[in-house]
Amino acid sequence: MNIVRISWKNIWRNKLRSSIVIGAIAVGILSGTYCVAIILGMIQGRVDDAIHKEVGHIQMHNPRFVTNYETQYTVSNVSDKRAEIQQITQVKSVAAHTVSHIQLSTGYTGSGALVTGIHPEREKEISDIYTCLWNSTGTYFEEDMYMPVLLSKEIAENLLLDYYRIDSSFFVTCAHIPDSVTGKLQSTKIYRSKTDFLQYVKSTLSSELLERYKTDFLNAALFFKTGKKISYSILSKDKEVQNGICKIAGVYKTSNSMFDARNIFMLDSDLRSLLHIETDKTHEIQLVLNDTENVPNVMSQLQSLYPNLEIRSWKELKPDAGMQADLMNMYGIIFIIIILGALGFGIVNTMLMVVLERVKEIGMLMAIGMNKKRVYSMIMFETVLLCLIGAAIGMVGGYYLIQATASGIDISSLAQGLESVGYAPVLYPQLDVLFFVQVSVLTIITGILAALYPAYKAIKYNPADAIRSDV
Amino acid sequence: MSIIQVHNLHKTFEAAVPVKAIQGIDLEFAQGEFSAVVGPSGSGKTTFLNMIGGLDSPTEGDIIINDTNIRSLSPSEMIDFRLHNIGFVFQAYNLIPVLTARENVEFIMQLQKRPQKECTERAMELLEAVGLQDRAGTRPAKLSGGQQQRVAVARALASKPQFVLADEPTANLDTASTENLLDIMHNLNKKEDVTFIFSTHDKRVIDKARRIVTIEDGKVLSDEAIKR
Repeated sequence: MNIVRISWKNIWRNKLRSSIVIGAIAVGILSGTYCVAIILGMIQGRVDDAIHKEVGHIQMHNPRFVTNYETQYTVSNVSDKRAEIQQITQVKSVAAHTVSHIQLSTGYTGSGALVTGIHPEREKEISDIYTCLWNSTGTYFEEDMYMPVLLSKEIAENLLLDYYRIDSSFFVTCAHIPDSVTGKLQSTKIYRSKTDFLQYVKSTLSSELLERYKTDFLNAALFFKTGKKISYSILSKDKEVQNGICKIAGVYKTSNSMFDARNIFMLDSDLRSLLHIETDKTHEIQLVLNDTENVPNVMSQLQSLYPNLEIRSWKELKPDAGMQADLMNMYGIIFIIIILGALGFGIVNTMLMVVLERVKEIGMLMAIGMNKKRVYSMIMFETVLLCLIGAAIGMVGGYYLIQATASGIDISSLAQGLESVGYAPVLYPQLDVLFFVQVSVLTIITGILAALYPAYKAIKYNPADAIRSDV
Repeated sequence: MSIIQVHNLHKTFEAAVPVKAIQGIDLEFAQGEFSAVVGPSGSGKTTFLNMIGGLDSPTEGDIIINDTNIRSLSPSEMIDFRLHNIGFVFQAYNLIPVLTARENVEFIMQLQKRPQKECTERAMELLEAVGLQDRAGTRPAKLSGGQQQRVAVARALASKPQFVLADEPTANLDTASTENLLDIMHNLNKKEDVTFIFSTHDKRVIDKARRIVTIEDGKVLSDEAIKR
């Protein structure tokens, strides 16, 4: 009978007490694991969005352009550079952008933005923005029109380009609202502003119903007119102001409202002609790699190839997401350490009870020849096994809970708040195997630490006194 | 030949008023003895047995077991010495409740790091000797007091000790169980040539002993050999 086996049997002496301790550890680990999975899912989502919708893995600029986006500071020989960069095996795709500040205005108001000139098909290889058309409004530069521009929903609303109507899609979006409420809304009119639309709803429904469903009604009725003209004003590289008219090709929306509030897209050829930028020059070269892990390696290759260019990784371009990615694993470990630390005190208490209830037996074991090292190990194994059983149940439960919700947890009710700090309103819990290994190691450490005092107490018994005790 | 020699043994328990539990005992025990240390409660029997079993240390005097003065052993050496030289039978049986009868007997041999096959064979042999071969797979809670004490005797002998110390082994047993246990121990004493030393005030045990050492107030009052 080795010590581990006897420790295992000892655990099941008092099934109820052991089950309660195991249950507490399991619930602690399960909730900790799941919370960490949600946090990591949120952070990973933010990182993925930052890379695949906003800045790519790496960007290259003329160092002077970075300071103030002055359009005369370009990167030259773009075709050669693209060809050279494509030779780097870790690089998946490369795209060149013209970039400038632009002033947009409608008859009602104006808004500043950063406009990026893109080649739509090439851009699809480095950015997922083409998947972000809001409510299928317009196209990703697929419709043939004069000076098309892709606005964000945020900027379109700022320019008061929002319209409201009650059509079939309104009722589909409002399907969760009782028919007795939506049935009363029968207007076929198009409302030019949010206020006009809400006035109509108010005239039809009670104030209470309006308050309750206001956000739903506004979201369902909102639409933008593609092809609508807006005027722009932009400064060419020769410092000449260029004014003109562009047309809304489509409206996009990402999960980062800060990005949306600033960025619009035009065709590279259009923007290039407005800025008077020569064909083989550009402002920005953006790279997407096969694996995020390759960023440092590719960065160093690029730095040696182009020592005169400003080369920045996604972490430098999006420091918020970069910092969170760096701390991602640490968040999880700290969280689990806190949970295990709290559980540890409960385990110490339980193991002390175990030792105090077995004074006579421990005395007998030492009397018949079980040395202190073995007595110590027996208590330690008992504690570690207790912890590991609980942790294993908690981790299996956590794993299945993560799998069950892997398709995403929709917290759209918090979307506005989350999007304002760059997070998607759908959470995708995720954990890697390494985390489970780390939790297992931490659990063993907790078991060992929690056993120290009870085991020390056990070996301090005098066998003769212990045998004479009542317990 | 003496296997235990006790010289000028003293034990004083420190208290507000120090208690002199043992006051100068000189005794020797030979191989194969079946001896009873008797005396009224508080006379020092258990303290005496604890000291020759190395569970308690004397204030003064020497205990020599097979040429080893156990006072010179460190605590860890003492535990190892007990494991290989001394068997214990306690008043309250003190079996490990989560182990079966056979596992309880095997356990001490496993501590000695003997091969598992040998442990199992010896455990079954001893359980047969105490008449419990059919209950080898039973846990202590499902055994009677007499049966548990028989398992304890088997356990005490499992390590092939020089001698077995039994502190009031029959105190919790009825007459039939006591008779049965004493017969078993008597037979094992003869068969295995193991020295048995009891502390007891049970007349049924005294009647079986071949040597009776009477202790009172920590001193040897009488020491007589009985021919049976």
